[in-house]
Amino acid sequence: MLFALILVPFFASVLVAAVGVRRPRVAPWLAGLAALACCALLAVAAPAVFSGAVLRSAVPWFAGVDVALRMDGLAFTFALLVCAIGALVVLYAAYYLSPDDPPGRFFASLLAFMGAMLGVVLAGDLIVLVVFWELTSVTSFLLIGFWKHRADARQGARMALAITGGGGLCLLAGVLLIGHIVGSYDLDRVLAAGDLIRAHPAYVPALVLVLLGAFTKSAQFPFHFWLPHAMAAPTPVSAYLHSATMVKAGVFLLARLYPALGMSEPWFYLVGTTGLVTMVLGAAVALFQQDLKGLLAYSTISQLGLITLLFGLDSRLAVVAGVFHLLNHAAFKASLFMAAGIIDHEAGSRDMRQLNGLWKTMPITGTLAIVACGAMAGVPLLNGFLSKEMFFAETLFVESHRAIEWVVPVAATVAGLFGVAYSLRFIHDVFFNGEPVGLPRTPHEPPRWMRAPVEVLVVVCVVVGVLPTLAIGPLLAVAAGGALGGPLPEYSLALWHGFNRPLLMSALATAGGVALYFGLQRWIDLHSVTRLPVGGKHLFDAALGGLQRLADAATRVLPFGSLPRMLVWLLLAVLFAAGWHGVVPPLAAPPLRVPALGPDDAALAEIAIVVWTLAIATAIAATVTYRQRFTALIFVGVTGLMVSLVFVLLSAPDLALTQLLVEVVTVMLMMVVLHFLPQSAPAEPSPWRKWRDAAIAAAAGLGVTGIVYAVLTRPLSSISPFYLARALPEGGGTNTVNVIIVDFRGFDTLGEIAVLGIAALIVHALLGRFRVPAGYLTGTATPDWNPLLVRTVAQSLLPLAALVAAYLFLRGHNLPGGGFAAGLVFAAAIVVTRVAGPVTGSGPMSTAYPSVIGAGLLVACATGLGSAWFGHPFLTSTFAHPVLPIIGELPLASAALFDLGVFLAVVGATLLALLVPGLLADPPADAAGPGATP
Amino acid sequence: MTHALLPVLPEAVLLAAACTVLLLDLFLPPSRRHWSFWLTQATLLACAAITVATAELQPLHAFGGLVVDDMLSDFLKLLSCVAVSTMLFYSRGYLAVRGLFRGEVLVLTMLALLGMMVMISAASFLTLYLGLELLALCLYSMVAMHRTSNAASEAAMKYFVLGALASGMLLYGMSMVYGATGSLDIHRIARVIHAGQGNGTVLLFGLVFVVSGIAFKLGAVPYHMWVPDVYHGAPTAVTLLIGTAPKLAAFALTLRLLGVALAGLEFDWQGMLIVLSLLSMVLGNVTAIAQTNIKRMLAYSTIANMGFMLLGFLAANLAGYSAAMFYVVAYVLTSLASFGVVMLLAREGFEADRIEDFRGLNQRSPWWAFIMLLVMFSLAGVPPTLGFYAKFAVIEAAVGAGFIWLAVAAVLASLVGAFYYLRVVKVMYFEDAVDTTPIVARGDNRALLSANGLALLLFGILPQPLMGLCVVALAQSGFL
Amino acid sequence: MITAPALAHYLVLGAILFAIAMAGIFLNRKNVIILLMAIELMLLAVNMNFIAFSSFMDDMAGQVFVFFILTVAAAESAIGLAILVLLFRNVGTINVEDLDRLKG
Repeated sequence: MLFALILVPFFASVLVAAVGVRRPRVAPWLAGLAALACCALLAVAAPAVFSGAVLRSAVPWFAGVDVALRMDGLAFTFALLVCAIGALVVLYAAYYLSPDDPPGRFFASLLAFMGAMLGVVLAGDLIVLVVFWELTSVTSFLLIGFWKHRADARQGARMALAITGGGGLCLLAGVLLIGHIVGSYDLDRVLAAGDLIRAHPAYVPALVLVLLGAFTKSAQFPFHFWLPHAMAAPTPVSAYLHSATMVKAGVFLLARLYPALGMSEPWFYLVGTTGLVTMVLGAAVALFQQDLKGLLAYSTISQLGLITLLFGLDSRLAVVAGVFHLLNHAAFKASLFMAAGIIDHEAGSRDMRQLNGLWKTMPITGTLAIVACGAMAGVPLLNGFLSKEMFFAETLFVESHRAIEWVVPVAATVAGLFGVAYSLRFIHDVFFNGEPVGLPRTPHEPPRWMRAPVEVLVVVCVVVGVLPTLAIGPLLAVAAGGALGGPLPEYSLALWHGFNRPLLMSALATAGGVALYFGLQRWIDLHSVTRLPVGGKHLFDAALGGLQRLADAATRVLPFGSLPRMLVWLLLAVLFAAGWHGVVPPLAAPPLRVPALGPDDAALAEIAIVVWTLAIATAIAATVTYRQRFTALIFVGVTGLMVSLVFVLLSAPDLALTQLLVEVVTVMLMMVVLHFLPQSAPAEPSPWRKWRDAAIAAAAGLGVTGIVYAVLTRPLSSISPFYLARALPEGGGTNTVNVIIVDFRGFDTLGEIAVLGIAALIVHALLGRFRVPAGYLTGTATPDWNPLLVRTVAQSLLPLAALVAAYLFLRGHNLPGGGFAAGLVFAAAIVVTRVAGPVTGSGPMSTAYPSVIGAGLLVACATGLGSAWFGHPFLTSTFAHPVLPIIGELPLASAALFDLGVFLAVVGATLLALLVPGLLADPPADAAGPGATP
Repeated sequence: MTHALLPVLPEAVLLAAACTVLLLDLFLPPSRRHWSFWLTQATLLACAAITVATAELQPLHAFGGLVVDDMLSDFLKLLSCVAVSTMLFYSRGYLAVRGLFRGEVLVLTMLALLGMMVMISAASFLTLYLGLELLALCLYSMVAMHRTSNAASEAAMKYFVLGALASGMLLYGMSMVYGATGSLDIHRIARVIHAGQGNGTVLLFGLVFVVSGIAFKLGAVPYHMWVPDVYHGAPTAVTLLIGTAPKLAAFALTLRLLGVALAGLEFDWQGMLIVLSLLSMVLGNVTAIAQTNIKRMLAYSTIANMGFMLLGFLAANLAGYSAAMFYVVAYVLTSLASFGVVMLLAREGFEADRIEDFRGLNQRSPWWAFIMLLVMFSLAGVPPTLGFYAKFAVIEAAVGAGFIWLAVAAVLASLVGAFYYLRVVKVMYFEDAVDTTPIVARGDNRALLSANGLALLLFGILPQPLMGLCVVALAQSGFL
Repeated sequence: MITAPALAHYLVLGAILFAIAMAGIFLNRKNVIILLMAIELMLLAVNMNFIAFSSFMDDMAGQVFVFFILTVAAAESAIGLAILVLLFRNVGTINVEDLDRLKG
């Protein structure tokens, strides 16, 4: 049933949205029916709730969280508020909306809001509560921004969403902390774990975050300013959201979580102070508003502050008073908003400087509004009086420091005084005080049914005021019981408690309020006050502006856009991280353990040192001579060469070979590309920057070098014996590395050639279809720029290289080489021939390379799959050893076939990568200029 | 006994299909280009199907421990296939209009996916690096694919230089870890470290470089600088690719490197991730505010989102990893839809990549405005969209692991984030349309994008199945 | 006295190469092609590390990895250069500091 209660409005919302477009007249009926259906459901639940039961139902949602609903007295009371006032607002809105307003959208949003609000009050799990909480923010955004053609509506909607949605996020964080402390988000368990929570170190952060959520929603200082701006909403929305329901969600949360979070010093100070400040400030500002709804908005802020203060006083009786006032406020404020809406609707203005003397034209509405105002001011025999009395009484029981003991009652009296004053202003300014000033319409009474909701609410105010025990007693008892989560304190709802201090305070406030209003009327014209110093909007705008400026500044300062700065940041970040982690101190490292020397080692060592020195020297040379790019390139090449020598020293000859070949190919590639880039190097940076960079570079270099000194040789477990043991019997070869590559690492080799192939294809894709404009490279690519000798040598190189490649390929399985190296050698030879040879037009070959690569990859793939087909692991070879003359034993493993694939792919890729940029030099056949064709 | 080839069958099929499409494309006339497209889609479907069909409950190591086939990899591979397939559907029209709907793009996309899959199922530094580079090389060139665009080639150059440098860092770190533990196999490394046999100083040094490399690939501050320029400069279709499936692979990379291999150094990398996460969340969200280009804004949003992902990750337990995984999945889904809408609005000679191009979208098409609204809400973490639950899960994981202040900072950061996401909503709903060109798109694109957008809502309301999958996949893969 | 090269010597060579690469990046932040060379140098340093570790631990896996790095590095340079040529054709400069179209 609880689920039905929430689903009915949501379902009706979708229905209204769907139907409302075509049949606008049906929308309010549907909405009203939905609200009444909810009321009926509540009536069904009422007996159980009044007997003290707590209704629960839940369906699992995700790990640890259920969609749990829970209805106790407090939830029931609030749900009743939401549904009953919802029904009244629907009736009111049906008359309020003009024919231009789309009713479907309005009522759909309103119902969605109602569902979300019911979700908040019925939530039995804190996460569910947060979800619905945010939904109320979103739906209220839609409602406030309903008149989207109006700038103030848009701005008000955004502000409300920003503040309340942000508060919701804080609430989420607080809820997460509570869940962390309690170990569950279930409301029953959380409420039962109050002591645990208060004792936890994360209590204060959790409390602050939850309070931020509550205060933003309930428009407490300093987050109050969104509420007046939200008055741009249609008045039914204000009556519903900004008096009875949404803004009450915050204080509802305070009441809900009071057993878990309340009863502590931080609670008292945070909640109490906020409530106190808000109450006084709101009341004072309300008096100086010119807009009728503005006055009501600030008075709402003030009243909410009052309720917050009551919860903050942290006594059980104060909680009862808080709940009581909350109900009363909903009744009189909703009716006042509706009355204001009627006035706006029928008189065409909400400005109190224009609205005067409406009593003559709208006597019934006037009477209703005056009664409601009386309740707001706390006039006896009306509901506001009772809860205000209770409030005054509570302020007198504050047990704390002496200063606070008198501050609270005085502030309460002052707020009451302003309350009387602004209520009086509402009555006097609107209904009396002379004649209307330039109203756009002639005011008259509203349609019968538009006034009905106001009448109902005013009757409630009066009945509760006269017969409190009968009218509200049971409901208040269950509501307060739910909030307190335990036995109720003794309280009396009687009208008359004798002459006591609360009565004195009431009397003072009333008399003072009357005096204040008429005094102000007399000495300063209230109508002339147009700007108030307290503008939360300025703060909000300033905050947003500040954020924007911060964003701009961050964008300016941080390394966005400039590659050099990005590079420096990247390297510095790495170095900083390395330094931060304390791995820099090289001096602290143990000394190097140097093994003893044998005679052979000494020779080796000499070679090593020579190679070493050369490698470093060339690398440095490359860095320093970067302006001469070709020189630098050659130095880089030499460094690579030296490194491959080091590989030989480290007994990895096949790697050395590959390194050598790759180095050669890479250098060739760079040469080719350099040929087409501008000859001039970019301008030098300023000397200062150069030195700075050099210093950073040196520091970086030394740091890195130093750290590695900390490395020591030490025995380590190794998997190499595993491979060595398996190499011959399983792979059919003796060359460990090569066998590993082909068989054990066959899959990766496939990946490797795939990478190479892809690279080549990418080069082709990026550059392959470029056409060089005629004359683009005139002078550099003349037909006979290569001497004959070079050409001859290059051409004789090709067969030789082919032979070497074939040898490497065939012997590969037992000696260094294999398809990879063979492919590189062969491709390099072809490139040399092409580069040295006469420059030809872009031949058809460029389209052939992708096929070669694709074929190679397919062969390699197929070998693996074939192997797998015969039940062998991927690329584990089936092998035979036929003996050939000259070459010797030919390892005809399926791995050899795989090597063939590797060979093809490598040749194709290398040629493609090297020649496609090379082709750029070739003038295209179709755009041939003079002297371009050989 | 299961076949040895099975664990890599999707990859093998993908590679073979890529070669086939490559060859096919050479001989196909341009008018038949859609054959290549549908062949590609069929391949992706086949890969997804094979991945599901060969899914194993228990981790299966293959090729001498180079790859591992566990539920984690199956799940992520499946999602990657789906994401890439969706990306191709979304970008088809966009690419065609710009003359980029060529075989190379399809082949490169497939090969990039191959790289991701290798990364996802890698169990050794070797395969991790191979996959990473395969992916990176394809992405570099796809960014540059729009050959006449200055912005694209500039973005590609920046991406390439920084990416190559970051790869170098990662490799340097890997070499140190190798030196300290004597193995490239991530499980063996984990065992060596666990047994306390690794060389502590060298390991830590290696760790710094490894984390730097990972952070770069994720785009976390301060290694994020490539993200905005690349997102901005690349053709939107490529941005979409970069912003979606590779994040799944990057997550796998992070998990395999930090969560498995270097799990023993948890306390050390946690500290680094805290800094990365905090900086990313704050800086990403703050700088996003200043953006006027929606691709750039989404780039900063990516940075911030990766910060949130790391927030879950650094809890370093099952709850944290699964929250982070869920976050990535949620982010990928949302990101697909966001760039999908951007491409939907784009047409010949018009990129629709400025926020003001979304003005009055509600008037032009209430449906697409609604989908974009869902996307923005999901990014901002508004319930009941997917993004809310994702944020909830990571923050909860962080709180659960005791990082309370970090969690509070995360909430504040997302508050800042909500600001710029809602600005897009405001522009769409509250401002008047300047451009009233009707929005045209192919039927499959429209259906898929709608489903994508609604999925954000559906999975937000019912996150449990997806979260359950994440938890089971991780638990079955040994993260307990 | 000359000592035999220990593991640390090779590692230091690697570290020096790495450091020089870094220095190169810091010093020449303008010319893209030099950046590419520096990255090349960095990968050489990595290879040096792997080979040294591999050799001294008698573990072949490191050597196999180096094969990979070599291949990938070559592929990377090829692509990098292709992008560079493309960039030069589009923008007309290879000066890194002129790359400022994208920012903010």
